[in-house]
Amino acid sequence: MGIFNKHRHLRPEILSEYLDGRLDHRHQGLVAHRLAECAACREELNTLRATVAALQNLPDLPLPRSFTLPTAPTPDYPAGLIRKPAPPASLVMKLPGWAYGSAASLAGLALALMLSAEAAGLTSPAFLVSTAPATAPATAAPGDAGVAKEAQDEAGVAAKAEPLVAAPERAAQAEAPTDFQSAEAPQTAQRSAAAPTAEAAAKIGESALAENSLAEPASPAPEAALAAPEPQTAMAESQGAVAASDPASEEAVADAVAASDPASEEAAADAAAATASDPAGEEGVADVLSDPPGEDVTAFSLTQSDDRATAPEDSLPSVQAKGTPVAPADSAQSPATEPKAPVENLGIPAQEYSAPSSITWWKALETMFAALTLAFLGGLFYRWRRNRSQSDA
Amino acid sequence: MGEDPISGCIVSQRTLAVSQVHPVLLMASVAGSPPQVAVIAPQLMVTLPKTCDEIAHPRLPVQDRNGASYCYNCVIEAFQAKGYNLACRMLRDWAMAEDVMQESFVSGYRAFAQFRGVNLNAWMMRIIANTCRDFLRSRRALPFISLDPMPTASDDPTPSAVDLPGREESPEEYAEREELRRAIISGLDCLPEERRLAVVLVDVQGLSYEEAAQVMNCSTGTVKPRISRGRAALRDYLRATGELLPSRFRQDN
Repeated sequence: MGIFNKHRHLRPEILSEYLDGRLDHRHQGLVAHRLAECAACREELNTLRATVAALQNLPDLPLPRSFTLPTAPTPDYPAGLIRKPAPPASLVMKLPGWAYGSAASLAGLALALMLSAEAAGLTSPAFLVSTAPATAPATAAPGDAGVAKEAQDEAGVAAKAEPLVAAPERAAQAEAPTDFQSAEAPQTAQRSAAAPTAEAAAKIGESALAENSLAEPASPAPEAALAAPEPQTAMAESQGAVAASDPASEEAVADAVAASDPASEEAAADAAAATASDPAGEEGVADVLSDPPGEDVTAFSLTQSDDRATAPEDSLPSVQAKGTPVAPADSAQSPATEPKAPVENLGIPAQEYSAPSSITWWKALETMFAALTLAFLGGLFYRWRRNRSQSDA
Repeated sequence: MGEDPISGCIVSQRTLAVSQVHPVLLMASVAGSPPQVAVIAPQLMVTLPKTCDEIAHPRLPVQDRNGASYCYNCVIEAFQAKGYNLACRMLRDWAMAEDVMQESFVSGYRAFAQFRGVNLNAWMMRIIANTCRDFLRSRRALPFISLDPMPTASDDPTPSAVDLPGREESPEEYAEREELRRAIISGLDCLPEERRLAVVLVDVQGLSYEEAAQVMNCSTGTVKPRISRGRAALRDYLRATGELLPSRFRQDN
């Protein structure tokens, strides 16, 4: 915009700036020249100048009172008008509030996902093959459909187990690791194939049920029987061990039937101890005793070597219910599965050993997420408290 | 530790005792533009005392963003007269000006850690202007049609030199001056908020365009039209009310 309006008079903005001396030299010259020519522009400038002068000469109003702030309480402000200035913002306050909230929710979400994955059995190695038929029915007691199904599965498994028990000599023959055998051995340790195995177990359980007409009450016995041969299977790395497994398994069956989770473990351990004459059996006993009570895999913990013993502990709790279906699943997978399946689980240790590290990693991750969630929530709370105290000030 | 010759503020980062002298100049130091070393009107320069004598007020130590220490009550005493005038010219109800001052100074105390230590005058005036805006917009200020008459000099019990006729002044001139004053006050009330603020800051308070822009939190390009249009509108009001501008203000060129 130029300095002139449509009537070629100087615009008020230009005159205003001219009054304040803020025009550059060129425009100043132009304005001065125009003022010399145009009386109207001169009048405009004069009135503006008078207005500004009147404003500048406006008298100051006297101060009614002093506005200094009291530091002591006054009648109007019993708590004191002001409080101490807030201390320099700590790092916790400098970060935006939404960062804390989102971080806390993200960490909490991750933790919830991990816990639910664990609860769903996706991470437990034992879900693959759960030996503890003895404990499985006990844990499935709460009577949900899954439990009943598992019991049926176990019944099916027990049906298979019976022939196994009856034919110990054939167990020795089961050197060749069938799917069933290999699945049973790494029960405690394997984490992989969580879902597929569970589904397979369910199917197998059904098929087993169809094959057998065993009733549910009878399941404990076959389950115990299954439990017995399974530990024996792991132990029986040699035929000699297999031979010893027979009496041990029978005793274990009897004990398992009568006992609850911890009792079954100890019974199995005792049974194994009573009959175990080979070092493998004793090691298995030691392993069993070292397991925490209530672990289904107590039985198949015996099947593993020493270092494996402690591994399954973490994964067991969530697997208890699934252990049994898994086991029959594996057994059913191999149509040619011989009853003496759980004889050998050679070649499995490699898989088993992978479990402990993954369990530890999982647990560590969960702990980290839990700690992060708490830390961010704490930061949120701290910020809320500080803001509250500052707003009161 | 040196004194910035332009702004007069201590530029050292170390914590300073209140004993340091830091005259607060009214020069704007807008980022990006060199500080104007123009004429410093003496009446605009606000000087904080060397030490807080704690006679008139209790000592209230505060620190700005750079760690320089001030006595906040000394700052209040330095700025309260100008701030009160600004509030009075902005608000229609002068009684509200005291509330504005109280609220502004308490806010300034709480927010003092954010003061960058460059232009205390602009900083304090900005707080007061913002508080005035809040009062006006929340309609806490009385509407223009108020039952309470505007206080005039004669109503003010406090004797003040500005209100009494000067020795050289005839009663007619005094009355004329009073009329003009009232007309200007009424005219200012007719202006929109932002134009009124611009005119009061630049013409009544004597701030520069840049300082006014700092107080109003806008650019100088925004301040200029507000000033010019505010002046023009006030001039038209004075002409329309028949308030003849005193002949001594008339000048030629």
